[in-house]
Amino acid sequence: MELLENNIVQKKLNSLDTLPDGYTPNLESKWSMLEAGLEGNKKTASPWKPIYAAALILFLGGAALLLQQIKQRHVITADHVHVQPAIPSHKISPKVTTPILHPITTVVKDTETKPAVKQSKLVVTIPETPTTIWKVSEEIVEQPQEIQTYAATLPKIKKQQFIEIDFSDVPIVHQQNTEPSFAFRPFKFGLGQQNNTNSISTESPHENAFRFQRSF
Amino acid sequence: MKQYPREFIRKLEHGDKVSQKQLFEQLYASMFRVCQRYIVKTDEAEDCVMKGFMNAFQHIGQLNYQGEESLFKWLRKIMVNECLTELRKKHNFYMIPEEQLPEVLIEADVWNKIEVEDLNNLVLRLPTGYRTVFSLFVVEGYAHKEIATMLGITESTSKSQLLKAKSKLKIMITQNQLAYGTIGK
Repeated sequence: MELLENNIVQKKLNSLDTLPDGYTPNLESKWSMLEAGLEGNKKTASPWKPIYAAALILFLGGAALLLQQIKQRHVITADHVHVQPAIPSHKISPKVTTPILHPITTVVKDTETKPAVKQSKLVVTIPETPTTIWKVSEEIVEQPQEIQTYAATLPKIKKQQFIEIDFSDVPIVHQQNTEPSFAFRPFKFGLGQQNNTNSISTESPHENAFRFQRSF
Repeated sequence: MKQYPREFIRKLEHGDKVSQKQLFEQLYASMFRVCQRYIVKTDEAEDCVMKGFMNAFQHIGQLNYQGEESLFKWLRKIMVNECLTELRKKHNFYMIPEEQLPEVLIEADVWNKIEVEDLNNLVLRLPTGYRTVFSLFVVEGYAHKEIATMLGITESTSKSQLLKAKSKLKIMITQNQLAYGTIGK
């Protein structure tokens, strides 16, 4: 019984497909509002997607480029530049003069010479002091060349340190006191370095001076 | 119940403005009636209708076509859900007053005799809780379990709200002299 009642009510209420009396909406304007809302939703939803995609592509591209550059740097240092930190003395070019106080210089030796296609040649300049910083410069030559670079090792020059006490040239100062007094004889004290002596000696520059020398 | 062929739904899926406008104009009144049973105020019911149409056009691809009445039923469900979303913002269905209603004896064929517009107006005069459960159960055909889930109430509350809604309707019918009946204590 109740189910029957429900069905009757349902059919009656669902049959209402007209607007209530006194209510006359402007459907044209309502449709315009709805259309604008639909367009607005499309416009607000879409613009970020291509921006995100472009940003992602740029980021990945940049990262790949950076990685490639880093790899190329590694290739130059590892594959094309062969640096020998210590070279036997007979391989050093006679043209290179060795400064005494800066014992290490660079020699670039070309083993082959073929006039042909231009190719890059690497010249490695080893710094004067044996540090870990290397400068690599690139220049164009006309032949393919095999490059060998050597670092020169110069004969070690021993230095000697000496202590000198000199009594000769220092003027003596006399104190004019009546009381008994005494004064040390003034002397000159010096420290210095001397090259090209191998032995330890106490050789003095003149008779009023002492010199103590030691190799190091 | 309006019927729409598959071809028409395909046009809607492709965002055809003419078809969208046609659907909107044809079904606005029906959908307004549906919404007004849940949200009585005209301007608020209008808002729900507009939101419902927008939602439908944006998600038309989710329609499971099972016949020419599918679109109408689907759109109606969307409208009901829009209304319930609005109602939940303002109304707590646990707070439906459980008033004691007298027994009503009413002539048997009252539902057949009563005019549709009169019946609709009486339904709109029911308290929100009664009206919502009555509309969901009687008009939309949901089970009490489903209504309980939708409104966040218990099944027994849904049943009692329906009984009270019917009693209240019968009382109003009698009081308005729309049918013969007696209201007991």
